[in-house]
Amino acid sequence: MKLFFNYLLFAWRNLRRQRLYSLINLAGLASGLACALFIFLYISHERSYDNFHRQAGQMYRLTNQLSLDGQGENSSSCVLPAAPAILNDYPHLVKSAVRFFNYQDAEHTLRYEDKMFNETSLFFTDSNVFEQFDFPLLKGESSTVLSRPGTIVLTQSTARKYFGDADPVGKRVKFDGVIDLEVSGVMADLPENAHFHINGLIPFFYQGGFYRNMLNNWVWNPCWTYIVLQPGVTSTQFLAEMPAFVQKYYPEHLKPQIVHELQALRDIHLTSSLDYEIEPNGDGALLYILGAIGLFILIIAGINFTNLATSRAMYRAREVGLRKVLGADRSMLIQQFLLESALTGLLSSLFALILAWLTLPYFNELASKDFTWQILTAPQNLGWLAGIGLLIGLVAGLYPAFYLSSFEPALVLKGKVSNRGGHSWIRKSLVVAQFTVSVVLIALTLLVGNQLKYLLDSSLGFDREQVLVVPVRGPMAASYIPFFEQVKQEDFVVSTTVMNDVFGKSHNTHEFNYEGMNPGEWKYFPCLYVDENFLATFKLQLLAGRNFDKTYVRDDSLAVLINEVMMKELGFSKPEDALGKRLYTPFGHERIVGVLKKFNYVSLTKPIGPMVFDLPAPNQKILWTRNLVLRLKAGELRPMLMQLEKLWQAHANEYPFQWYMLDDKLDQQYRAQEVLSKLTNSFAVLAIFIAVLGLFALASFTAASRTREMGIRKVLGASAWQISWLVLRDFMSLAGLAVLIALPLGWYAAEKWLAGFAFRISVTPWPFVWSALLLLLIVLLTSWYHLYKLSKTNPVTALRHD
Amino acid sequence: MIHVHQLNKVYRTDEIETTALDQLSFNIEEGEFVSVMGPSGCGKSTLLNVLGLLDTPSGGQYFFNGQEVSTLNEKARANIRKQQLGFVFQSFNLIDELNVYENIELPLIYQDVAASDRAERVRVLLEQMGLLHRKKHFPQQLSGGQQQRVAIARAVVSHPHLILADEPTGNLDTKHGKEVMELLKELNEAGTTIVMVTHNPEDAAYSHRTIRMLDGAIVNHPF
Repeated sequence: MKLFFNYLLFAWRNLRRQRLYSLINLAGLASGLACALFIFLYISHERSYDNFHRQAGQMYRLTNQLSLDGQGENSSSCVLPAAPAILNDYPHLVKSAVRFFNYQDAEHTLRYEDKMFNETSLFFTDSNVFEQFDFPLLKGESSTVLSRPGTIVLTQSTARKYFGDADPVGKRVKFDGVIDLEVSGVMADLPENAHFHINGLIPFFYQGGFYRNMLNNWVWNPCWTYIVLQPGVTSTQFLAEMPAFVQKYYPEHLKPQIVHELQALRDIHLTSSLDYEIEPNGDGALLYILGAIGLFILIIAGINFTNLATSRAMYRAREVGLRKVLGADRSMLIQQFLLESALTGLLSSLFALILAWLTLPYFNELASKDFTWQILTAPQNLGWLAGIGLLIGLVAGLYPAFYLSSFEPALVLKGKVSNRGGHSWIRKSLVVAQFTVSVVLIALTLLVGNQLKYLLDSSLGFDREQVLVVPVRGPMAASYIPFFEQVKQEDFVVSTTVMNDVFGKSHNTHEFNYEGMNPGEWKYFPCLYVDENFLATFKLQLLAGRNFDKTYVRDDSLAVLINEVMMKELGFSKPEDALGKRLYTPFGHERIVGVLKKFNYVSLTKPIGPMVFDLPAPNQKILWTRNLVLRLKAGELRPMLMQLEKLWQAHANEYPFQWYMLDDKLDQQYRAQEVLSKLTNSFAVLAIFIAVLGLFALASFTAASRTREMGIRKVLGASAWQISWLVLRDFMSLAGLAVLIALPLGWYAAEKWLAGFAFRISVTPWPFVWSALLLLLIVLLTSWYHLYKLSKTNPVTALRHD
Repeated sequence: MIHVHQLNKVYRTDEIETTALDQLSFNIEEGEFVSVMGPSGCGKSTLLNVLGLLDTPSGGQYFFNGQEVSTLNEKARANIRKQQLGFVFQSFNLIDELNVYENIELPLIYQDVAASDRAERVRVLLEQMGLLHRKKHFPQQLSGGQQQRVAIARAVVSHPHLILADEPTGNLDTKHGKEVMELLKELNEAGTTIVMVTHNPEDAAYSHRTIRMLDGAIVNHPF
């Protein structure tokens, strides 16, 4: 025990005596650990989604694939009647089911007295929602809170917006200006780690007629459906029943095309990117990338540790000899050195925690997270941090412990220990490994940055700048129509159009039959309802044919435009050939009047798919008008917005004025890439910092250990530059070797990551060249100081060394 | 106590072979104070290292207290070192990170001596060496003479049978050198066997007899 304390005491005094060394060691390891802690927090947070439901293990989302010959949709939502039918037919397999429905409108207006807001995340749902999900209910009984028609449960923060501190229960709010709802309960706001969020829940049956009609609709699939399997039932058992289920309920033409799948609730956030997701999900690949970066940084920091400890061997050699003389055997010394490195590891963990605490706001901003000191110091996170610190200390301390303890006392006590012979290849390999990891990290950071820039700056094939979108809904028609008419008169409005969906997300698919297909067979293609100004507003190019024509004598809503990809899908190679061809729908037929040059309407991560552009029938215009789209003149936005808002107030003051700029929305699609880019940037800088610390110390020890040699060379007439070059050459060749190894590794990783993008930059050697140059520059700068000092040393002093 | 028979030590590199010890044979009895003298490079220190089990001979036999020790493994050698040997060096070789008290205590820790016993033994020695008031000081805060006294205290604290001293006065002025030699003499008179390498005939005069070496071998005539 005393020996243990003696080691501790010694380790502590050693740390204090060798301040610069300790500082470099601790700073490197602590910043590496802090960064690893952040990555660990991020990954554990991303992996914790939807874990808070007690039934999460048996809960699944029912999804819906609809395809023929690879065309169609892969939807996260299902038809409305699926859940009741499943509960009815398979009670032995399914314990409960809950649906969420929002008319596929992101927003609805709620009003209480003079307070009115557009609310996202309002859902119609089943009354057993609080029994299936563990959404914490603050006011109301979970079994009854949604059992009465015309009620609504609000989240705490939503309720506070309307009612302040007053008790909301019993108060009445108006939904979209038409439906009266009584607040029957209040639920807690959902934590961030839920794959979708809720502001209010309304029981299904209140919609009366609409709901009754939809209950028999086995085509429209807007309903996110979550089922809980009976205990012991597996998803495979359930899915085995689905083909029969499809045959029993779906209309004839859909039977061959519909496939139901299950997604485990807890997997949705990281693995699902289906059509019509409730909220954008996370990216599992990002976690692997971050995990790898974390590991890289720990490797760099660990190698620093090993290298510094080993290169200090000559400073510790005498001590090793003495301890052996005084009776210590090798195992005692190994224990001592391992204890020292474990202690350094633990101490670094402590500094890492402080560092993490200081930089937490910065990290939160980078990663768009909201981690707190409480989360940072949760027992499992502290345990992890200490564990990793200890592990790195021990692993990185292993080689130095064995190396140092091997010194022969008879030799070292005479000062006959060289720092350059023996196992110097191990140290060199470690330096090469460290350089390699640094080059890969820097190069990948550059590549990620370039790809992000490419995604954000690429021409999408339409003009996305200066486009303002005002989302509207059917019930608002009386208000927005006069507003829109007046907007068109404003001189800052260049042109306008309407759309049922915007660009940048998956679009509703419609069924079509065309030449070559069997009658009654349908293929599903994305379809967008627009008006005749659509082309002008987005500056789209026609390859052949004409635009929709407002002055057309007959109803032009039977005309459609298609894009180039759709043209190929239909089997035509020349745009002109597609003109005049018919597309059949279950309700009649349409005729192709124009072919548009292809443009990117979803995201650059996905290839451009086929698309049909249609005019809604005159009696369906209001149904399909979901967005008023305004192309504004270039110039300051504020005065234009003020004028727009004034016009809105004049015509639609029962709804809040809501708008966004399309390019902002489109950029948001690349949030994941942006987060990745920001994180890799910061982590790469950190990795460089740690590597520089290590290099600085290594250069200093190398310089010190060669002082005598340099003195002799100087006496013999070597110039300062020749002397510097001797040491530099070693570092440079190690760095060069690292670049050679890093190139194929980094190239492979980059190709793998970029494979996830339909539109991507190509990998060139340049990022690797730049990172190699950067690395060499760093090597040069970090070694220069020591070499300069060394080359200026008086040879007499140098020779007195040793 | 020490019986050495045809002891050899050869250092080999790729090109050359250097004989550091050449067929040495001698005995040292318990309670003796023996000096080893000779010019630089004659093998004095190598001999001391072999006797102290810090280095292994290339050939011959070395019996310590009747046991053949030249073939023991590192662990067994470490064990004999900590139980029966004490070392004093020219350059003191104190551990800079430990204070006077802790430096002297260290061998006892390696020997697993109980805490109360350790404290008592270190205190007695500190008093004997006139270092009690310095016990919290670190080596760099002491004079050379004081450092060597600490080193001697450290060498004797575990009651070794044999003390090996390698030019113990080499880094000291005459006054402090004399103090150290007196101290060694006292220890010898109290029963500890001492083998001391020295250049200094005055120091050698403190010993009972002198082994003279040249080119790795024992010679009988003075230089």
